[in-house]
Amino acid sequence: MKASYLGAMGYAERHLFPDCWPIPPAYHDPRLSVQSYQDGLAECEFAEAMGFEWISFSEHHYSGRIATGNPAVMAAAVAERCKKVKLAMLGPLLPLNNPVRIAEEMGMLDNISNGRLIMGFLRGTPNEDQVYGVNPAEGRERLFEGMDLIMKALTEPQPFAWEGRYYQFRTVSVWPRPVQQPLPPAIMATRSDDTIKYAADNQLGLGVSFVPVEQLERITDKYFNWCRQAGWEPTPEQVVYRGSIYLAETDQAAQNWLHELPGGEPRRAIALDPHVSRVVQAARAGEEFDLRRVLAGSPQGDVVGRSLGINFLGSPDTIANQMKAFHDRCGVGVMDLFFQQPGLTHSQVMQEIELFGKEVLPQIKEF
Amino acid sequence: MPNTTPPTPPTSFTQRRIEAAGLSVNCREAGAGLPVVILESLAWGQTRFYDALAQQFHLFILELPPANAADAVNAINAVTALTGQLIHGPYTLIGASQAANLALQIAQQDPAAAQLEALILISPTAVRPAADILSLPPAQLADLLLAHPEQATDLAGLPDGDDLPRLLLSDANAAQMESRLGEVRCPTLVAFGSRDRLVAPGAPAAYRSQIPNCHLSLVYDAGHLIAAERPEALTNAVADFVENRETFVVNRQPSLINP
Repeated sequence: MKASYLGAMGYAERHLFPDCWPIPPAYHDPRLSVQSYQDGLAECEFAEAMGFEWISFSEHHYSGRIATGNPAVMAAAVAERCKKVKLAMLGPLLPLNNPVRIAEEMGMLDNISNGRLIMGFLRGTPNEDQVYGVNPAEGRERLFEGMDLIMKALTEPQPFAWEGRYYQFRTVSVWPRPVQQPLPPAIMATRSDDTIKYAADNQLGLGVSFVPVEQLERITDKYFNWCRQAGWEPTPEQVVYRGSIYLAETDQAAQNWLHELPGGEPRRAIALDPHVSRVVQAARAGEEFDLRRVLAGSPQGDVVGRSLGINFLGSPDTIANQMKAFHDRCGVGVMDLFFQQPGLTHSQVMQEIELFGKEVLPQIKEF
Repeated sequence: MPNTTPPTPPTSFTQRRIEAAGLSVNCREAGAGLPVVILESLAWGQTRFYDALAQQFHLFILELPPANAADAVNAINAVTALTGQLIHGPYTLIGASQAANLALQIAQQDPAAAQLEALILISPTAVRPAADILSLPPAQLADLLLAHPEQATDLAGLPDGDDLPRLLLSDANAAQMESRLGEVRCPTLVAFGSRDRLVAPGAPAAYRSQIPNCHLSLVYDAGHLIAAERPEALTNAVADFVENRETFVVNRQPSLINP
């Protein structure tokens, strides 16, 4: 098993953010923000030095918790600081973006890094649909069409026109082409059946975030079955799990950290107005939502949607055992880890990276 | 890009005089659907906005006399009573400019606020008015109302004299108004022209940050009188909020090019 460090570039005082999304820009202090990105870059460098083989990036908007609204910008900066790791774009939110622009960014990143890019595609969490005004009912189809267009844009040798359902371009001629030919490795980040099937049918890797091992096992069972039906077998690097982690010297120290958090758990990550959340979920499911059949919203702006807590917690041995379950039961070959828990300082994260590199990585590399 | 939106046909409003709590106002009514009350302090330039809203909603426009601080409390009670005569049930309340300040006060006050499904404040001047605005001569004030006064065809039709400042600006204590923003109880949309020169730059954010369930919409390239300069854009935001309240942040427009 390989380890991947999620380059979240979290804002230093993210623990002071309100439980809402979006986070008002008024919370932003330029001095702290500059330092936060420098700290984040240093964490990526240190993770590489400690044996992490991937650094991943994730597109998230309107919040400093994961402060990479444009993950390609961050990946380009890290590519110049880290010279060995794979740069895993897990990833751009395809329904929100112009697929041709994403193809151009992928091509540039693979060239800048001399062939270290891993492409990832995902639809995004429900709040992200609001960022660029995407109709949530269209996200799935935009994802599929966007992926097809990106693949063509990176492989077709001559300029072409694209007559899609959601995208129309009369000239596509992306430059530069990827260094990795015909394409960099590609991963579909999803939990839903139709996209898992799509990944299997198109020989794409699978990335799943933050679900418990029992749920992941059900997902990967489907994936492996559909891959076999499609006539191929994924490599270990094509099954990626993203989880949040808190690592301490002892199990007791990790438990103490957890219990000292307000509410005894990591703070909520994404909290939407309940009506907005229901409208988005209904639209994504192809259903209607009648706002006037529910009571008016609370003046305080109720919140729904909680973070999924922490996936890996404990001492090095405990966490290695937790990860072994993901490997043995689900076939996970790459563990993509979110270390920047709310309230942790940069130096605490660096200590965790060091501990992970010295005491966890040697164990999980044997899986 | 050419404007492909077909022009809205002129709306035929019925008019009547209504009275309550010592206040007598002219009420114009048109359309059908969700009830929407507009408090009007300045009619100039509003026609296309009203016509477009009346295509979608049951519109009641209450023509308010120029306000002053002394009758603010009476005005709240009177408008609440007038609205009670017109509508039995929840409704959306809209106020523009100085009338937005009255709408804001109604939304802060029980039991009037209980009937409000949503509040829409268009270019409110209650909070952080631009410095020295009240001391400007009316002619100079008129020039500040629009982002592009040079393009206005009938600026001469604006009220003049002492009425203009009183139609635009609240006499209420701005600090007190701001301190009570947190008392608004319903979903609220606050719209400003991106080139509004009658309020200080921090005014839009003050509403957004202090009203609990508030959305801020900036209408590009419009001054204080948004409805006069970009009526279609204003209608788009306002109608979407009347219909969907806080869920107007979710885009429902299909973008399929070809099946």
